[in-house]
This record gives sequence, C-alpha cells and structure tokens, in this order.
Amino acid sequence: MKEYEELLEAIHDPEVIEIADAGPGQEGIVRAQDDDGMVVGIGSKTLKKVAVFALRNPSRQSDEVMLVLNAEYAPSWNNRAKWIEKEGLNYENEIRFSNLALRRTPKSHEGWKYRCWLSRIHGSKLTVSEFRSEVDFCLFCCDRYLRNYYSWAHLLSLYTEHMEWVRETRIFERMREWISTRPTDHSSLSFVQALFQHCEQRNYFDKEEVLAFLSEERTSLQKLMSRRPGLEATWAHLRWVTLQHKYFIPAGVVELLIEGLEKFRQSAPLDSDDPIAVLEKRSERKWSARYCKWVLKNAETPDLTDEMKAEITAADF
Amino acid sequence: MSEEEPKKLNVEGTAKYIEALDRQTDTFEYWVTEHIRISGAYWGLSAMFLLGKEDMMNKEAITTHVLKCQDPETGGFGGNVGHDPHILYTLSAVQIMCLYDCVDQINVEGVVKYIQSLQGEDGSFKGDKWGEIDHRFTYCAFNCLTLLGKLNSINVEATVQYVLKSCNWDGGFGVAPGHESHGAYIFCCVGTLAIADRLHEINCDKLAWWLAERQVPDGGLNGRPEKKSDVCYSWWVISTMAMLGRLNWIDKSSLINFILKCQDPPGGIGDKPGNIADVFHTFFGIAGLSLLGYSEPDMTLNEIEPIFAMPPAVLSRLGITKRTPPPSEAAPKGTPGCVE
Repeated sequence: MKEYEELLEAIHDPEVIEIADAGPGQEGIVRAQDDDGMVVGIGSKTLKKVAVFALRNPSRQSDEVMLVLNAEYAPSWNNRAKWIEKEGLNYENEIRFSNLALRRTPKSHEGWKYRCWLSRIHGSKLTVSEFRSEVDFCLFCCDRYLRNYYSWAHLLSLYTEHMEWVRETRIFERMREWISTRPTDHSSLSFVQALFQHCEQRNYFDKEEVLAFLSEERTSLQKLMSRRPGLEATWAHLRWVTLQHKYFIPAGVVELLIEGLEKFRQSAPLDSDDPIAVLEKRSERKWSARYCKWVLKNAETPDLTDEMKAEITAADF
Repeated sequence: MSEEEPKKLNVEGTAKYIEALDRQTDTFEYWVTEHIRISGAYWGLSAMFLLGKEDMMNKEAITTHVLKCQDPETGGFGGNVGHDPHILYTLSAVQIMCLYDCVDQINVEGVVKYIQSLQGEDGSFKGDKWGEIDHRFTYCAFNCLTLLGKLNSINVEATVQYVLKSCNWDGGFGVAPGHESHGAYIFCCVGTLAIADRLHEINCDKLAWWLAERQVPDGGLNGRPEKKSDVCYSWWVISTMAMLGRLNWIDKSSLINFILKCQDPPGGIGDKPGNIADVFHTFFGIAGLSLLGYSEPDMTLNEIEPIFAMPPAVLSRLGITKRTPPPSEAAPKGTPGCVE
C-alpha cells in the first residue's frame, strides 16, 4: 500500500522529527519543513486506511507504523520490546522512535510505559546528557498536553533515580518559571511536591535550603495568585505549602491561613460586565473558603482565635 | 427531546448500541481496540446486566471467546485470542465468567499462579512480564483473587502496606507511591483496602473532601484538579465515596443530570455531552446512575456493588461477604452535597 510505504520511509528518515495530523477529512501524506526539522502530515482518512492495513498485515514494520499512528496500541510495543530482548538495545534509536510516537500522542500511557522500560534497561549507563534530553522531552510533552499525568510521572521517576542531578539541572527553579506561564498545570505542582518530599526524606537538602525553598514557593505563589486568584491548582498548592510550614515553620501556618481568610473576605461577588472576571472572583471565593476550612481541619492552628475559627466554619460561597 | 426537558436514560437505545458492537467488525474503532476486546466485553456485558438486558447478549459466544484468551503457559488472559497475557484482562475474563456463573470452566489454578508471579516483595504488582507497576494492577489482583476465593494465595499484608505508603498529603493516591493523586487510582487503592478490610487505616474525611471537590459546575466529576468533567469519574469517584460511606458529599441530582446529558441520541454514553458514545463510558455512566439510585417511573436499574463493580447477587453467589463502609458523616460545609 503506497501510503503505508511512505509512512514507513518517513519513520526511518533521520530528518523527520514528527508525524502529525494533516487535518480532519484530509487524505494523503505530506512533508513540510519547520524550524526544528521535517514534519510529516497524515490525513485522517489515510490514517485509518493505513492503520487497518497494518493491523491486517502484522509484521515488525507494521508495528512501527501502528505505534506512530496510535501509541496506545500495546501489542506493538510488546513486540518491539521482544525484538530488543533478542537483538539488544540501541538506546538512541529507541529514543528517536518513541519520540516520534509520543510527539503525536504526548499523553499516551502505553508510550510512556515503554519509555520507562527503556530507562530501566538502559539503567546506570544513562549519561547526564541523555538525562537532560529526557527531561527536556518530558517537558516538551507536558507543554503539548498540560497536566500530562504519565509524562510527569516519568519525570519524577527519573529524578528520584538520579537525585544527584537535581541541583545541576536547577529543576525547582525551572518549575517556578514553568508554573508562572502555565498556572493551571496542577501536575507540575504535584511533581514539585513529590520531588521535594523525596529530597527531604533522603536528607538531600540542609535546613537552610528547606527554609529557602519554602520561602521561594510562598513568594512565587503569592505573585501568581495575585494575577490569577481563582485557580484550584494554586489554592491546592497553597494547602501543601501551608502543611510544610506546619513541619518546618509552625508560626507560618496561621499567617498563611489569615492571608487566605482575608482573600475570602475580599472576594465578595463582583459587579462587572466582564463574565470572566466575575467567574474568577466567584472561583476565588470558593477556593479561599475551602482552603481555610481544609487548613483548619488538617494543620494545627493553636494561635487562631475562636472568632476566626467560627468565621471559617461558617464561610459560605 | 428538547433542551429544556430533563433527560431520561435511553434504555432501549443503549441496549441496542451495546448488542450491536460486536457486529461492527469492519470499522477503524473495532480494529484499533482489538487488543482490549475482553475488557470491552466485560464493560458491555456488565452494562446489560445493570439494564436488565443481559439476555440480549450471546453467552455461548462470549464465554467461548474468553476461554480462548487464556494463555496455557502462564495461566493469565490476553486482551484477545493470541495476545500476550496481562493482569487487566485476567480480571475482565474472571469477571465475565463470574457474571455467567461458569468460572469453573477456566484454569483457576493457572490464574492464581499468574497473579502470584506478578507480586513483588514490596507488595506491588506488575501488569505483565514487562514489569510496569501501577495500582490498577494492585486492585486487579485483589479483586480477581477474591472472586476466585483465593486472596490468601498472595502476601496481602505486604500489599496493604504498599498501598498505605502510597497515600499522599491530600489524602489521595496516585499510580505508585509519591505520585499525583488521581480519581481512578484512588478507586483502585481504596478498593484494595476495602477488600482487605483496612479502610480504617486511612483518613476517610480528608480523602472524601478531595473527592467531593472533583464535582465541577456542570455537575460532572473530574479526576484531578483543573481537569474537565468526564463520565467515567461518575464511577471511579462515587464508588469510592460509597466505599467511604460519604456518597452524600456529592450533589447527586446534578451528577445524574450530567451523566444523562452525555448520552448519544441513538444510544450509549460518551465521555462528555455532545461526544460519541463508547462502551467504556456507557458502562461507567450506567454504573454511576445505578449507584446514585437513578430511576424512572417505568424503569429501575439493577444494583452494582461499589468495591467489585459487580452485581451484589453475583457476589453473594460466590460467597463474598458484604463489606460495611466506615460510619458516614454529614456533608461538611464547602462540599457540593451540603445543603445548608
């Protein structure tokens, strides 16, 4: 089949960096050069014909075609892994191929499962340059599809296996820059929380570094929340930051709670023609109330007055 | 049906949609899902049991196909004939045979040995020989072995400890210890603990609060913060709430309305309003409606048990004791179910 052969050729062409959708209702395969490299576009009608052809004609090549068209097709990943077991791993080759599959379907669970398996078998041979490339690729996929669960999970596994590169790659600073432009990416904040926990449990940070980290998280969150006051992701992260204060800076818990309560008091319904501003204000009211209630229940607040506790308990939205 | 009228469940249309799925053998969707066919069969069959339409399904054809999917070497089941075994499809296979009361036709010892081979020393479970570790597989192992009456063939305590280690600061659970809390993984971990009768070891209030916050303004549920609502969380989240004894923390009528709006007009349910139906979301949408007690004057859905996702009558036939959820609490102020 002509389009099948064309796609196979594209998969093995080192100039090709991506296989993308050409658009709904389109037919055929086209090539285009962009800033990063050659992109091959496949029309939706052609994609279905080629995929069905590949499934009806199983072979090593058809597994490759299936995976760049549908990275969720697990049997093809299994077949590929079996070939590697027989012939040995060419890490660079596998990274290039799985890049092609994951660029098209960046949130594919089966694709990331294969990527994790590659990391496992490559093991201690991973160089710092390969590590950096892997981190960059994870973040590329996380940018393509926000809250990309399995990409963030793989990134966390990489760092917990290679804690020695946490400081060198400045990952925490990188995450603060990340969230400032993607404030709804709750998964990136979960990644920060989990990685900090790993570092703290393994005594990777000394006490000053922990306090500095919490101070920077608090400051950057405050800036972000002043711009975007109604986001669930940032209020959820504030809960976590408050909980860390419970362990490391106990006096900070009530300070943060009082700040949250003040935001709730100021978030009266907005009288405005701008529906987005009205929605964000309503959302701020909801999340600030929930934040206060959550902290009251889950963190120790001995210095909070009874009046404030009653106000938080009664808070409605 | 106009936009203003409250929607009803299209029982006949949905039953016809499910029954027709196996005849659409020349579609792209049929081909690219061939590797998960056995799970598709479980979803379709279970939905038909809930609708009271199981007699529309071909028991002989389904059970014969299931038996062909068991790998004689490992004892596990693949997603289709000739496919590699995996714990996900092993559970689906056992569930189908339990629904049809013919589990004695499979090689039960083979299944047990296969699942035993997937347990790690730390209590985690791999999905298959390739070694992925994921709490879906924890739940599959516990559910499957309990259905077969063989839970004690694995190290239950090690797995309970592994699950408890996976509990995050927000009360939730992710794919593995330390990973982002996610509605579906929470179902898997809470289900595992419920089967082991160890729910008292987690903070049910904290977790239920996080789950209640999954209800978004359109009445539907998402699986984690900042995500859109999706019908499948009508199962993952509310079955967990039921296990925790806190189903009243959700606004039930809004959720019922959301699920009904996700119906595809000819029949079946999609993930979101306006999207095409698929058998996965059809089953979980109907299961959610059943758990929420949805009914019409001329129609009642059959019951579904929240831990095992099976009819209570089937579990009773298998001698599986009903688990009592932890004592329930009134919905606190701040959760959608609070009506103060």
